[in-house]
Amino acid sequence: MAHEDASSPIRREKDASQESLLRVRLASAWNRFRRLASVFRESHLGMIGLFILLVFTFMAVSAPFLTATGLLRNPDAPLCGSDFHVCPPDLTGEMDYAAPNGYVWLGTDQLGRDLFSRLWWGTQNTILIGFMASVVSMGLGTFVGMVSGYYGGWADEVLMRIVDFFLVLPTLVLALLLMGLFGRTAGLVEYILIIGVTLWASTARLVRSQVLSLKQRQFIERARAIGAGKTRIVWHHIFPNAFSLVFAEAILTIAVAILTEAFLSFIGFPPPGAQTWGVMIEFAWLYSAIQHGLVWWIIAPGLAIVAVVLGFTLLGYALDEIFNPRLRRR
Amino acid sequence: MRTVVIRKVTNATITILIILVANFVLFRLLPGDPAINFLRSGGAHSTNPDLVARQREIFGLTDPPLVQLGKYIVNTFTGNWGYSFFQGDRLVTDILAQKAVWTIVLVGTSTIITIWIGIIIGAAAAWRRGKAFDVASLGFGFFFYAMPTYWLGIVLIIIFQRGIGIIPILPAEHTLPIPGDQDYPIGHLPTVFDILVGGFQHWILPALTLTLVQLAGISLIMRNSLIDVLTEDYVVTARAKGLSDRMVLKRHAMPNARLPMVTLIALNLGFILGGAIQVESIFSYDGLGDLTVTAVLDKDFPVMQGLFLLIAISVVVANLISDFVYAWLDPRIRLE
Repeated sequence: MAHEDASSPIRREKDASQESLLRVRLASAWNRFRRLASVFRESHLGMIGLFILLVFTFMAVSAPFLTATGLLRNPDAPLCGSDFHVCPPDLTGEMDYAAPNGYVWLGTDQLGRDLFSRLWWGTQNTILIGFMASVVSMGLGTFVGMVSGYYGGWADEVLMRIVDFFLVLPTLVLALLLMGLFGRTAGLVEYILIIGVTLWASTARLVRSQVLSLKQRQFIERARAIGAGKTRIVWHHIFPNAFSLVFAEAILTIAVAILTEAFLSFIGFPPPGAQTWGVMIEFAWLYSAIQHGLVWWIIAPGLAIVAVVLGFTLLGYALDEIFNPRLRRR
Repeated sequence: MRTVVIRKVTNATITILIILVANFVLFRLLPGDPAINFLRSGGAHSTNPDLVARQREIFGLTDPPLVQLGKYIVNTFTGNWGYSFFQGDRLVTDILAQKAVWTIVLVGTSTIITIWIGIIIGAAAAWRRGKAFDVASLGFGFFFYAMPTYWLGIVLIIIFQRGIGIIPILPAEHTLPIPGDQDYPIGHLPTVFDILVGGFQHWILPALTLTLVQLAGISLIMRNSLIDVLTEDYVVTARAKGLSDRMVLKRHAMPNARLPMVTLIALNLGFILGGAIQVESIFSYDGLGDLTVTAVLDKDFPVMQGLFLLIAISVVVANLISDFVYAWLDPRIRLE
C-alpha cells in the first residue's frame, strides 16, 4: 500500500488503542496514588511531618517575593540609623548587634544585617543542600545495591566489603576527614558530593536485599524466559519495584544530610557561597552572640534545623511504613 | 559455629585492611607535594629544592607506591604512626594515648548513665504502651534525635551558665588540676577535693549533652525490645502462674529485653564519637574529638591519619566483639 498515512483506518485504530493504554496507565497510577494517600493520611506522625515540610517549603519559595515586597529585609545588606534604613556603603555596621525589637525580630548580626531575614533566606540553601546530597547518595547506593544484588559473585563480595567499610566508619568523622583533605579547594558541587559519599552505604544494603528477594519472583523469571537481557531486567523490572523503598530512604537521608551540613558548617567547613542555618549558628558562636545577649541568633536557626529534620524524619518513617512490607503494621 | 567465627574475623580483618589502604590512598590524593606542604606548614615557607628533595627522602616518597603501602602497613602494626606536624614533633601515638584517656572517661561515663536511664525510660514506656508517658518519651526522643549535638551543647551553656548560673564559666587558662601540679593555684598543691570538683565542672555539661542525644535511641530500642518480649509465651506463662507484674517484669521480661543493648553500644559507638567531636569542641574538652577538629583545621596530616585509623579500627573491633558477646549471652541466637 503506497499511500498509507496517518489517516488510514489501521493506523488510526492503533493510535486509539495506544491512547487508551496511556489513559488506563494514568488511571491506574492515579488509583495507586490515591490508595497510598489514604493509607498515609492515617499516619498522624507522617501528616505532622508533611505539614512541617510544607511550612518550610513555603519559607524557601517565598523568600525572594517577600523581600521584593519589603516584608523581609535584604539578608545581605546592613541596616543603619534609628529608623533602620539600608546602610550606605560607607556607614557599614551602624546597627550591629541590635537587640530584638518590633522591627528586627531576632536582632541584627555583627554587620548589622537583619537576622530574621537571614533565617528565612537560609531555608532554601539548607533544604537544597540536604536534598542534593541525598540525591547523590541515593544514586550511588541504588547503583551499587543493584549491581551487587543482581550480578552477585565476586562483584557482590567486593562491593559489600566496600559498603562495610563505609557503614562501619562514623559518618561525621569520615565527612570531617574528607573536608579536611579536600574541603578547602571544593566548590559547592564537591561539597555536596562529599556529604553524599558518606551516606550511601545503608541504601546500598537496603537495595541489595530488595533486589535479592525480587530476583526470585516469578515475573522476573517470565521476563528472562521471554529473552530480556540482564540490563533490561535490572532497570525495567527490578528498579521500579525497589524504587518506592529508595524514595522513603531518600527522605530520611535528607534529614541526616542536613545535620551533617550543620555539623561541618560549625566545625569550620561551611558550604561555599551558601548561607545556611548551620553557617548562621557558626557565625553566632564566632561573633560571641551569647555575650552580646543575642541568644536567639543561636536558638532560632537551631530550632529551625530541629523542625526540618523532624519533618523529614517523620515523613520518611511514615513512607517507609507504607512501602516496606516488613514494617507494615500487622 | 567455628566456621562462623572464622568468617566474622576474616571479614573484620578485610575491613581493617581496606581502612588501612584507604587511609594510605586518601592522604596521597591531596593536591600538592606532601614535602612542600610540610615545609610550608608551621610557619616555614621554604621551597628550596634541596630541602624539598631531602624532605621527600625523609617521608619515603622516593619509593615506589606499593613499597610505600607495605611500609605504611608494617609501621602501623609496629606502632610507628609518625610525628605531629605541629605539636613540637611529638609522636602521634603519644598524643592519641594522652587524649584518648579523657575521651574514654567522657564517652564511657555518659554511655553508662544513658543506658541506665534509657533502660528505665524504655521499660516504663513499653509497660504503658500507647499511654501518655509512652507518647511523651517518643516525642522527646525524636526531638533530641533531630538536634545538632553541638547546638544542644550551646543551649545548655546558655541555660546553665548564663541563665541559671549554677555551673561557673571556667576561665580560659583554667586546666584540670592534676595531682602534684605546682601551678594550681600558684603556691598550693590541689587537694583531692579540688581535683574532684574541678574534674566534675569540666565533665558535667559535656556528659549531659552526650547523654541527652544518645538517650532517644537507647530508650526507643529498649521499649521495642521489651514490647516484643512481653508478647512471648513464657511471659504469659509467668503471668498465669500468678506472679506479680513486678516479678514478671524484673525476673522474666527484662533480662531478655536488655540483650540488644550489647549490640546497640557497638553500633552506636560511631555515632557517639561523632557526638564527642562536637561536644568536646564546644566545651574545649581536651580529648580525641577536640584533637580531631584542631588536627583537621591545622592540616596536621599525621595526627589526622592516626585519629582516623584509631576510630575506624575501634568501631570494627567493637562490632566484632559485640557479635560474639551477644551470641554468648543469648544461646537462642545462632551466628550466621
